[in-house]
Amino acid sequence: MRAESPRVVTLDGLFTETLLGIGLVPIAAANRPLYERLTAQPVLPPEVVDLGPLQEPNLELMSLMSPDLLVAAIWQAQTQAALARIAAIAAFPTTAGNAPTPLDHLDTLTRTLGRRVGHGAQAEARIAGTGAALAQARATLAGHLGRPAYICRLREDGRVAMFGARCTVGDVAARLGLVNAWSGGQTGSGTAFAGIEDLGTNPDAILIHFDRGRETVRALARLETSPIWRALPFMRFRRMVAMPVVHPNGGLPSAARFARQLATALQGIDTEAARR
Amino acid sequence: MNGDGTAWRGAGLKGAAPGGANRVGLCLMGLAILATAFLAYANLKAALPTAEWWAALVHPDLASMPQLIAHYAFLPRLTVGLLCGVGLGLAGVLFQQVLDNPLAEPGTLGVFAGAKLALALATLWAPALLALGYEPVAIAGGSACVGLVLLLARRTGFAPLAVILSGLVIALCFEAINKMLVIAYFEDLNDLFTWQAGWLNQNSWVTAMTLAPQVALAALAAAVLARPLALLDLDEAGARSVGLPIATIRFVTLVVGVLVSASVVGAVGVIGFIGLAGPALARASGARRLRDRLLWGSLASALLLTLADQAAQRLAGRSGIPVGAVTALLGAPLLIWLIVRLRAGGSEPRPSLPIPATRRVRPGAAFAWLLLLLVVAVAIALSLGRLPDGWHWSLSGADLGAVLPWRAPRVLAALGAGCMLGCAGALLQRLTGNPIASP
Repeated sequence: MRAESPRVVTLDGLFTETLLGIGLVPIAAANRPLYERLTAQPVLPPEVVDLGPLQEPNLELMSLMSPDLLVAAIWQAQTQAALARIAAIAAFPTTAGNAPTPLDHLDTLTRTLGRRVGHGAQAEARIAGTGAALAQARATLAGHLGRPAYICRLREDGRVAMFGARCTVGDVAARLGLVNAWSGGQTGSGTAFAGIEDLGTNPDAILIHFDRGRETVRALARLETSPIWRALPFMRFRRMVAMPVVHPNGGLPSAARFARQLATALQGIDTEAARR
Repeated sequence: MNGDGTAWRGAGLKGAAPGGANRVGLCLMGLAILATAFLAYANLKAALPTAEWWAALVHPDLASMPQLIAHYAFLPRLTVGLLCGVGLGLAGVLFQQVLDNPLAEPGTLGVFAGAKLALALATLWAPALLALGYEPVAIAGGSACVGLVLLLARRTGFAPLAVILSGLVIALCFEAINKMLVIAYFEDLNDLFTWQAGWLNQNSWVTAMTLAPQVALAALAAAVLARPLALLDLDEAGARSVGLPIATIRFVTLVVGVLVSASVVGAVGVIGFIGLAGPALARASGARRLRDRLLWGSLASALLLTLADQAAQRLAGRSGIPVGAVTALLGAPLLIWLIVRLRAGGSEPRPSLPIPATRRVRPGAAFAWLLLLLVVAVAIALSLGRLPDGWHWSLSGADLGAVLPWRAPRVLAALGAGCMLGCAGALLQRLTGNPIASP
C-alpha cells in the first residue's frame, strides 16, 4: 500500500461501495443520497463531496477538485466525453454483462480497481472475506439446500420487482444453495417486473423481500386486499421473510451482508418442505 | 369556426356512401371483435382448463390457484380494460366535440401530464397522500392542470383553439418539470414511472369496482350533455340565439372528460391514443351524429384497448409488456393516418381560426424586455455555481477563467438549441398555417 492514496472520484454507487470496501475513501461521489438509501454500508464519510445526479454530475466542481482518477460506468464514459478533460478514467460495467456470474464480475471489478488505486492487497482480502462469509452462511443454511426462493421488493402498486439470477443478490442466493424460483425473463441487471398472479406456480417457494419501512407497509396493505395474495403458498404456510434493504446490484460488501441476513432470516422458517 | 369544424367530421367518411356506413371501418371493427374474442379465449384457456371455467366464474375454489387467477386476475383485468377503454373513449369524443378537433384526447388538455406530475410530487414530498392509492392524487393533479388550462382560456369563452393552445403549453411545462424530477430523483420515481407505463394487471376486483361507478357516471353525464353539445355543432351564434349557455356547456363537458380520464390514469397509468383510436374507428364505421359517436366511439375504444391487452398477454405473458406501450406504438401511425384523412377532407386551410395575437403589446418594448431577461439569465448561468465550499458567484477574472470552460459550452448549447427550436417552430407555423405547430 502506498503512503499516499490517489484522489479518486466515483460516478456510480457500485464503485463508491467497492472503493470503501477496500479502504479507500473517494474525495467526491455522484448521488450521495442514492448511495445512502440503497447501499448505506460501508458508511460514506460526510466529507465526501456530492456531485449530483449520475447522468449530470457537476463537471466544474469535479475539475476544481483536481482528482487523479475518475471511476465511471461504461455508459457514463461513453456519453460524457468531457470527463476525459478532467482526469484519467477507469470505466467498468455496472452489471454482470458478459461475466459468467454477477459475483465473478464483482471479483474482477474489485481486483482491477484495487490494483489501479494501489490497494491490491485489500482487494484480495475483500474477495477472500466475501467468499468466507458466503461459505459460512451456506453452512448455516444446510437445511434449506435446494429450496426455491423468490427474492423481490414489494411495490406500492401491488406488483413486485423481482430479482433473478443475473443480479448480485440472486447470485448470492444461488451460492448459498437456494434455487431462484423466478423463471420468467429478466433484464440485463437481473431484475423483472411481475404481477403476484405469476408467483403461484411453485408451492414450496419462500419469498424474501426487502423492508423499506413505510413504503413496504403500504405495499403489504394493498396486497392484503387480494385473494390471490392471501392464497399464495408462501403466505398460507408463512414462508415470507422481510430483511433490511440490500442493493440488489451492490458490490462485494452488499453480497456478504445479504448472505448473513439470509442465514439469520431463514432460521425461523421450517425446513420441512426442503427435506421433502 | 364551427361551421368549418363540421368538415373534418365528414373527412373521415370520404368515399363512404352518403349516410351509410363505411365498409372498411365496419370490417375493421368486426375483425377486431373476432381477434379479441379469440385471444381472450386462448389466454384464459392457457390459465385454466375449459371445464373449470364456470366454477371459477361463480365460485372459485380457494385452494386452486388457476381458478383464483381466472377469477381475480383474468376477469378483473378484462373488466378494467373495458372500463378504461369506455372512459378514455368517452373523454376522447367529448374533448373532440368541445374543442372542435379530431386529434383531441385526454393528453391534449394535460390530464396525463398533470396526473403524472402530481403523483411524482406526492411520491417525493407527501407520500402520506398515497395512502389511499394513486387515484385521488391523479385526479387532483389532472384537474389542477386542466383548471390552469381553463383559467388561461377563460377570457375567450373556452374557444377551441385557445383551450388546445393553453393545454399544449401547460402539458409541455409539466412534462419538463417531470423530466427534471426524474434526473434528480430517479430511484425514488422509478416505481412510479414503470407503473405509469400503463399496466392492466389485476389481483383483485378492487380497481374494477372503483372504476365502474366512475365510468357509469361519466356515461350518464355524456348522455345528458349530448343534446346541447350537438346543437353547438350548428354554429356558435345560432346556438347562442336559442339561449344555450355555451361557456357553461363547454366547461361542464371538459370537467366530465377530465374526471373520467384522470380516474383511468389513477387506476392503471397512462394509456395514450385509445381516446383517439376508438372515436376514429367509430367515425370510419359510419357514426356521424354526436350521440352515435359517443356510444360507438367509447365501445370501439374499449374493444381496441382490450384487443391490445389480450394480444400483449398472448405474446409476452401476463406482465411482459405494458398495454400503454402497445397503444403508444400503434397510436403513432394512427395519428398520421388521421392527419392525412383530415387533409384529404379539404378542411384546410382554416382561415377562420384566429391566431391569438399579442398585437396589443408593443413589439419593440416586449423585445427589449426579453433581451434584458436573456442577458441577465446568461450572466447568472455563467457566474453562479457550486464550488467545493458551497454556492459561489465567480465575478473576478481569475474565478471566471477557471469555470468558464465548463459553463460557456453549456450556455452556448442552450442558446443554440433555443434558437434552432424557435426558427423551426416559426417555419412550421408559417408553412402549415397552424399556430400551435412545433417540432
